[in-house]
Amino acid sequence: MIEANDADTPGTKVLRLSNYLNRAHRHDKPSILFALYLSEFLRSDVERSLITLLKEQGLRVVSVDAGEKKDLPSFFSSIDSDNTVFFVYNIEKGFPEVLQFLNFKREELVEDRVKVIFWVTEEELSRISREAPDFFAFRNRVVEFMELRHVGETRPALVEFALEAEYKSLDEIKLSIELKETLLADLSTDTEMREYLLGALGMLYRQISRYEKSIDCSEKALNIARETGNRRDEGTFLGNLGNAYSDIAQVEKAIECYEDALVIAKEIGGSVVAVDPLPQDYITNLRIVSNTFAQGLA
Amino acid sequence: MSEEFIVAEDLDLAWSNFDPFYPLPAGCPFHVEPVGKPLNRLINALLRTHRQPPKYFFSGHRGCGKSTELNRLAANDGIKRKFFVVKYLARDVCDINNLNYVDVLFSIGAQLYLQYVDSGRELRPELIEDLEAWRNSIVERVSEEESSFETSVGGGIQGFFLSVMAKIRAEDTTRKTIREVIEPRLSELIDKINSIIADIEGREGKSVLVIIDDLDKPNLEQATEIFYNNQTAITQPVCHIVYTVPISMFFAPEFTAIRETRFLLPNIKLHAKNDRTSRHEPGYDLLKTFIFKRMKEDLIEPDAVDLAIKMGAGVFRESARIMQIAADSAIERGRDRITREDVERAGQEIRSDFKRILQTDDYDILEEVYKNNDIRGIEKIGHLLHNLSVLEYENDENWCDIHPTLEKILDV
Repeated sequence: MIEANDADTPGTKVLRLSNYLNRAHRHDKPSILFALYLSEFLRSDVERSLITLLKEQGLRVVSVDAGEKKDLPSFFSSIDSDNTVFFVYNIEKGFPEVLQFLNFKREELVEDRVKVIFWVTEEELSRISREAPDFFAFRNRVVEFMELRHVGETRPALVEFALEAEYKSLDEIKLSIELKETLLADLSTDTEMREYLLGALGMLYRQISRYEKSIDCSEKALNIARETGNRRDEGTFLGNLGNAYSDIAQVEKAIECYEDALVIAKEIGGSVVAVDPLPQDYITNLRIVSNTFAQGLA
Repeated sequence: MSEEFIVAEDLDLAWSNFDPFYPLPAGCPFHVEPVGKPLNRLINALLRTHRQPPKYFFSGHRGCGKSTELNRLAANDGIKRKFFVVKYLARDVCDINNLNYVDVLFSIGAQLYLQYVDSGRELRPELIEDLEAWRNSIVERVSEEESSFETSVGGGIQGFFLSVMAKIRAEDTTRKTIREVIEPRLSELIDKINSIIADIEGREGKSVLVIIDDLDKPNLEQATEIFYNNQTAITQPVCHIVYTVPISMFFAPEFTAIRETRFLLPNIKLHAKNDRTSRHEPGYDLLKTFIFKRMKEDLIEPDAVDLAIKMGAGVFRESARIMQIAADSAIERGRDRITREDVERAGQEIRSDFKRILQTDDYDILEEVYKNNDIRGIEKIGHLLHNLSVLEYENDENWCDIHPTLEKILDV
């Protein structure tokens, strides 16, 4: 018996979504889909691929921020949705009103033949299924993109850090977190082991999008590294913090951490840091984005 | 639906035919008559002679085919001979999110008038005059609170009913004002409703039957407010009414009084209580008919059919969903027929969805239900019935079982 669809690659699943939407368009049917993701980076890749496929099929994509358009059914109805696929984001920002609208007006999505993908995290999907059960019952499919982008593919490495393992599944990550938290609970003093566990937890929590927790653990690890004078680890944790702050769009803090990490990397020298112009480019780009927001141009 | 109801000869059309969303129109060739013909109970009850026109409360689990059956009720020949039927969706005329008994009553009056007039008929002039005077008094009173109301309300009684319903549906503040104006003089509204009913009955020589679909959407709290706290008011119209209601009302102790007037559309039984290995052949036969009215038999392997039926748990919409996902899986893999593997994938997807909904305590309850097939403590399983992880079936007594896709995740 085939138990897991995890055996399907992201590419297969993208095709699945694309074909489903195309079929719905051809048969003039609604299509209410959920795309469950873990990694923002993978989600971006998936979206790009999917948009390309949909455009090839003559469908256009309209992005919708559920934090701004809480009455999604009415918004969908206001747009000629014949060859339109809606990508809905930030459902959490629209809670609880967005769920109420979806639950009570779900038939409007059917009547208007709406084709929509809700891009959701596991927490968001869980809440939707509990608080808008009638709407959730109207879903066609839930397609999971729970794979993780390898960190090295998404962020140029400012410093090397030891990845304990390359996790492929959410269950593995959660088990690892559980184990490390248990081990950490038994360590009362700020030892190197405690620093290691906190640093690892910082990375793991980031992988399941628990950014606040990630930042908390990484900061604690950073403090220990500073107290013990471990510059290498200090640079590592600063890089991790930069990544986490970047994920939650705290651009200034991300830049600060990256810059501090870069200073350490240059100080420690080439055996630790891959000499790579990209990190500086990345910091430069983050600064551009930050300035753009500050001017209200974004 | 944009396509005719054609038996699919390929999986692409089969995918379309197993669309889980749409209630079927009356007379649709895809329709299958549920075992025991439960709708006939309601039809027979309506066709009986009553001293006072009864109000019936109709419900069923999500996806069991309520709207389809109500479409058939409205189109039934015996019903059409006896009744002038006024059927509508509550969501078309009210804000389901903010529903109140005054809205429901006003919608009854409005729909009676509008549907009668739209059918090309006329009410007597004296009644029209009476309704116009009532209209003017409402408009005047609402305009005292909202000055723009008078100019925004359409002319005549038809315009009045249409405008007010639109405002009740869409405008929070105006809705509140309308309710505040009408509620103290509720007997006036009911009198107008009954006057319209009386005129229709006199002119048509038939009784009036109002069928309101979609009133099963409000939560139990709203339903209690409408159907329990204001039961007297909503049963005042002197006509037969079928109200859809949330399934949770059937389990709440406050509603024991409606036992004689409630009609539950049951799920399709697939095995006997406490004997999961048994097969209730009428249930399997019914769902095979459901499947093969929509696609040719050679589009699915024989051993996949029974599994698909089982995974559908005896609920039409769930069965359609399983078949649509399985068809999608087969197409994706380049097959021209659905295999057991495709159905297993579909079941696994449904199971994953349940895992997201269920909380830790739910698993203990599910194990209990799995072992006993019994409803013990409705307060414990109400939410599980609502999300279909527990389903109810009927023999002489009601019993329940877990959704078949969940068997694999229980530690039994």
